[in-house]
Amino acid sequence: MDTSNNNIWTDYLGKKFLLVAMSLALITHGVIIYFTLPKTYDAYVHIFFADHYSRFWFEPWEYRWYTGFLTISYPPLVHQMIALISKIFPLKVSFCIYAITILQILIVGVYRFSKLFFDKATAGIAALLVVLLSSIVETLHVFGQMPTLTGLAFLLNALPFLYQYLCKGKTIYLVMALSFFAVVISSHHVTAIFGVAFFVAPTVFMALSDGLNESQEKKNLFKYLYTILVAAIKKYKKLFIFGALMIPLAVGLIFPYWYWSKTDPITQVSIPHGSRDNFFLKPSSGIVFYIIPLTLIFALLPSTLYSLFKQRRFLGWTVSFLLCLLLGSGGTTPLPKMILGANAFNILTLDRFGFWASIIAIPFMAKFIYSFISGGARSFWISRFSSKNHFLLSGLTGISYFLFLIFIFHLSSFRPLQPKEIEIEPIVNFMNRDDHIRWRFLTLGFGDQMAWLSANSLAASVDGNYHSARRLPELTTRPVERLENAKFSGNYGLASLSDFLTEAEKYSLKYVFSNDRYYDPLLYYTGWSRTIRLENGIMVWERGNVSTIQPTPPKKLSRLLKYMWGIIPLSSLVIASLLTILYLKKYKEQDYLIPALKNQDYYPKLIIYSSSLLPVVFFSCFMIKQIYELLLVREQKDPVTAVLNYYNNLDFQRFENAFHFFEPSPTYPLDQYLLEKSVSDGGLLPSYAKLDSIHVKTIRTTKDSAFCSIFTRWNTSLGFESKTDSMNLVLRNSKWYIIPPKFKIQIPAEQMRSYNYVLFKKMGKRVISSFPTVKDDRIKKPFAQFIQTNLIRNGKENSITGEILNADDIPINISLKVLVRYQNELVKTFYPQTVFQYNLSPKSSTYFNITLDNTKAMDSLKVQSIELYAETDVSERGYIHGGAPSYTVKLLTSDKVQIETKIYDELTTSINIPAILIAEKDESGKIWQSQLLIHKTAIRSGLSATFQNNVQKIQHRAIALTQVPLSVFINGQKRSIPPILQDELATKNKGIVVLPHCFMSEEFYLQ
Amino acid sequence: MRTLSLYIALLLFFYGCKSTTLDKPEWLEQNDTLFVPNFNLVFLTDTDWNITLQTFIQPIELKTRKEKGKIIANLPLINGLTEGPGWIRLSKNKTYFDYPVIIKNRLPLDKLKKIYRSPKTVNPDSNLNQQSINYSTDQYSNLLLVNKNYFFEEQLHLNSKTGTYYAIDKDALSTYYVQSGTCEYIPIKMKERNKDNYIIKIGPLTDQYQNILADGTMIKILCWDAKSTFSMQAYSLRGIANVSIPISHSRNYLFMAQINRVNSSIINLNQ
Amino acid sequence: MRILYGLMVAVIVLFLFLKGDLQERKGELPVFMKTDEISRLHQSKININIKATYRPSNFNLKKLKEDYNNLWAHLNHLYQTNDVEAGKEYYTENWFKFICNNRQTPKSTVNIRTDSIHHLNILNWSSDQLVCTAIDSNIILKYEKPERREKVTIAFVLLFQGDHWRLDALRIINIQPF
Repeated sequence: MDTSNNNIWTDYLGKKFLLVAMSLALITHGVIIYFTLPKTYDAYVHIFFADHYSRFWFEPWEYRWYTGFLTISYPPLVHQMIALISKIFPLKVSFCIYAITILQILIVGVYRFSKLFFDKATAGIAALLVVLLSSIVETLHVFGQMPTLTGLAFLLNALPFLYQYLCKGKTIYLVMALSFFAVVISSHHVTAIFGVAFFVAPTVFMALSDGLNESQEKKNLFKYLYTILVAAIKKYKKLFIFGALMIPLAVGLIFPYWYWSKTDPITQVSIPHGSRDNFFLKPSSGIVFYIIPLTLIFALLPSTLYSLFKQRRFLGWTVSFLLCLLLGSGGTTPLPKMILGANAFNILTLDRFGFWASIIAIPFMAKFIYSFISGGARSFWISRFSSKNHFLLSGLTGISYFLFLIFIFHLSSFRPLQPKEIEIEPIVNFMNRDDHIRWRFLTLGFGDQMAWLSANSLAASVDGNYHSARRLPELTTRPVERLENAKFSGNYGLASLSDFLTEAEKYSLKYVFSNDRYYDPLLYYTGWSRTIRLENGIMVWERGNVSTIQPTPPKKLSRLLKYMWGIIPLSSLVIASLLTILYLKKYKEQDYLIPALKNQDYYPKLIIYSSSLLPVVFFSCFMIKQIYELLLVREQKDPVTAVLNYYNNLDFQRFENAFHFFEPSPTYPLDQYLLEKSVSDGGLLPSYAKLDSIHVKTIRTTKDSAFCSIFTRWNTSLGFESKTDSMNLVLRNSKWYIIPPKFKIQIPAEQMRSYNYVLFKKMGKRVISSFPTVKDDRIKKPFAQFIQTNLIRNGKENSITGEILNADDIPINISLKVLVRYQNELVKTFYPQTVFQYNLSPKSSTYFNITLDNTKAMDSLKVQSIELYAETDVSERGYIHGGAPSYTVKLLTSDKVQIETKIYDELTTSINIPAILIAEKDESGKIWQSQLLIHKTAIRSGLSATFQNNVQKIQHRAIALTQVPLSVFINGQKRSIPPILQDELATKNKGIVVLPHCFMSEEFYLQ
Repeated sequence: MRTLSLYIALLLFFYGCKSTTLDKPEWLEQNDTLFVPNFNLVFLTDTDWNITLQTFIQPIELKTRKEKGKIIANLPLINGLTEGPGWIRLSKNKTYFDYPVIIKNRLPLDKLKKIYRSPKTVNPDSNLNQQSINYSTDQYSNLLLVNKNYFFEEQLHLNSKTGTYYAIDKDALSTYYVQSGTCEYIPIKMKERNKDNYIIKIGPLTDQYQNILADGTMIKILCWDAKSTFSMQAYSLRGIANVSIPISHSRNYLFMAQINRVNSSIINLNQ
Repeated sequence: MRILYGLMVAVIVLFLFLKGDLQERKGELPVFMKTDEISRLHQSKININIKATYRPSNFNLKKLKEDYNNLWAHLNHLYQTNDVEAGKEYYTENWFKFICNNRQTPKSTVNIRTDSIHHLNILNWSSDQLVCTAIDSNIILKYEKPERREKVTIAFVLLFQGDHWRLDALRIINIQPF
């Protein structure tokens, strides 16, 4: 075939491949995206932004997250487009339509981008590769990163125009390039910024190189580079025009974004991200952020590098590709941090660099694949190993890659990335009725679905899913993602969550929708009560004495900026579209690209072997690894491994799997195991805990038996708890089995039990009206009384201790707040945490302990006065604290006591977290400290449990500060405190008094 | 000539388009007082006027119908209005004429009594005084004079008996409540002893006015011997609580009940 | 053929249009995000004289003054336009239902009224801070078109519900030109 015929043939083939790729993408991704969307990380966030624009197009203040933030903190085009489509279709469908449109543009972009390197047929293969490339599949179906894909799609379409402008100098190419870059800038700022370095610069380099003659190209590297520099200087006008127009475009198109960055800079501390991990130390991060997206790239690396190094014109791309690969490796080496700088390294997520590396590699991979399918590499294989073997190899590679892709689609089923889908309508309805919308809410255990809930409701949340825009100090000062998944952020996460739950009044936070019972203990002990379980199974927790959200004006932004934000980015897309139509009709030339004639379909033998075999080896290895893990990994190869795997199964609630680690015995079936588990579990450990670390020590071992000690550390919402267990193991049939521990069970004497308690029902609004509660429906503020309050200083720590009584005839909810006024007019607010009973039965009382600033701070700022405020409200829940404790106090030293507590469960339900609130009183009856002491295991009805705690008494070394004026207020009225009375019971018990303060998970008192 | 004719024609045209001054229509049988809602306002006019009744609160566009040389207006709906001064305004384009009126409702008027008691809940531990603010309105939110006053306030001293009382007969929303006060004395007695438990009766619990304490009042039960202290909580029902203390075979218990700061006597649960 | 294509396009456009009608997303802000422009632009002088047995606290008095000012802003707006919804936050249900009896499509009329001075005599104040009865004497009202001024005395009842003092009942006691 002669060259011209060859060109016609490749041209025709290339276009066919492109059309096939576009159709394939539509059929596959177009359908799948609707099902994978709910499980992605970011899709719902972008949908939330789109919802914002669909409701408030010209108002960038979004009040629904974080008490409000500006949407000019993110380039708007993607969200605005989804918003526009959502005028016709529902949001999820709009997102899918947008996603598939962008994918089509991306495919065209890759096709046109690849034509910069190779012929059209190869470009067509490149287009097909887009449909199948794991990095794109992951970005779309696992991460849901639409702005990244949008920016990339338009960037790749812009580059050929830029190349043509530099080669041919026609203005139309400049205009087209700029119009597409404008869309990139309006879609994704990071792609725009880094795109210049990793895509634009190599394109410029390539254009300059293509302008050289052959002799110039054959010079040594340094001379070659010098020649390029000279060529660049010769074309300075074009480069200057391009640069001079790009800068105002970049600034002007999203000027409000730059304005926001400058005037309201990000104060968020760095949040850990898996892409910054050392992938050797954290293989799971490596798999998700490096291996999965780049497997094919690594498999075809030999041919890619060969092609890159073969031609000098690709030098820029070589640097770009290798740099992206390096940066994408995160913290595996110190180099990315050195290159980017610590600041950028800690802010950026580095997986995007690996993604860009995969995009740069596409044309080169396509080249080899085309060669393997129908070119020189194919001929090589057939000549050596017959066409049958070549066919088999192709088939195997295809199948193994297909299985690999299926694995990516189902990544979430192997290791769930999100909780199960939650029906949000009941939550939306709850917030819409009865003025609930006047308060803020928080979700726990919703995953990224919290953004979906926000998108469908006008209610406001304290949480959010766009970390760069948040300014609440409780969130910005800690490396925490979202409050709703606080347990995954360790101590910091739970500390942030605890702040919000105790300082609920500060943010008008009244409702918590909990989908994860892990947080139940924290909610209960910080004063939240269960209200209602919605039809979707979500429990609503409510807090009393929280005032409504006060009218807050949105952050002021000039009208000009608002209109700019609403009009200009979208206009860039409209203009780009119109220009494209104009270009296609009037200006598009045949063979407009200077063909890369130097491309020969030749690969050395080594490259052909490696690049042909590595894919099937890599993907097969992947499958083999899965098979190995399923079949051959010996989970019970030794006692330590057996114990570790047993606990691993327990942690993930795979009880049936865990059971198989026990020595098989007809007297110990699965049923027995589950029964024993149901009665012994239920306490703080392990029902409300996550395994943080485990250490197994083999104490004794023989040929076929072992005795191990297991030290576990559990992360609970109330803090870390440690536990030590021991296990006996035996070796049977080359597997180590755990001998089931002897189950010591207490049996209650009675077969039927009864317990009387009084249930209260708050009638609420008796007038059925959407108007606020009338005067006659407002329940009076219940009566409460401070029995005593003391300011205690114990070394560095200062606290307000005391006792408060429910003086009313109804159960009440009390909220306490301490205002410390310093001499420089500084006022600080403190709240009790868990050392307090927030709900009290009629005539019952509770101790409290509110931690203040440390001594150094208090003394340096000079306290002027302290005010203690109590607000009361009628309560229907949470006033039954359960348990009948009996206690003995032993004096260990002069200031240390041991409290042995036996809690008897007199209720008809289990006490899941037995706990006591203790107070240390002196002989006069003054309270010096209070503590909450928790027992880790549950108590069944009719039974009791004993636990011991050592408590350091402080009255002999602490001092009661009486010189600071301390006033108390109940419901805004100043009150006096009666004199402290002696407590004979405390005196009898070495100064210790005890109140039961237990948590029952069964909603037995919900009517 | 042609130009001049054109100017003349234009002048005549604009003159013709100029609005003519409208005269104030005569209101037939004009009355200073407008009895609402059944009125018919009759104006002698050929012009198509918009007629609005402007009360002190809101403007109401009246329903009009034209008859020969007349326009008749009345309320679009049969409703009462805010009594007091108002205006009837006839308007057309920028021309308007006002007719002052005094609006009076001539429908059967309900007398809606409102009584607000504060506080709504009274506790005999503090005083039993209650404030009552009363006023009456018709069904159109017009305040009514009662004994020459619009508002009436009085201080009441309530009955010390606990209960739910109606400020307005049969109006559940107007109820107010007298709670029971603090328990003054806690009677306790060992009711029975069986093989496993002591059953102790606490109560009847009353306040200083012999009102039974509210259901759900928490009673702290303390039981101790030389070694340990046993504490539990019981809740009263109709002033009585029965608690069951398990017998331990080697202990000599002392027992006491406590409500707030009031303690019962100590009884010895002997073996 | 062209007719067929045209029909298909028309059907698709109609479908999209009708779908668009169904996808309306509520853009009404919750109450705490709404700015009350009518109240914001209104300011009148309010003098308060307390004749009640119970005295409101400074905080409650300040709130009453603020809400009373806003209430008059909305009463004037209602007087001009018959827009019953705008001032809903300052009306009890009773009062709101009453003015809704005669509601019509709000429209701007020439009946502009402004209030400048109020002399509030609080006659009764409930001990739970939720009921206020008063007589506002010598309210100076200015009307435009025709321009005139009036001195009005009204008796009214305010009830505190939700976050605001709300008008429950009213009686015009006296009105005279000023």
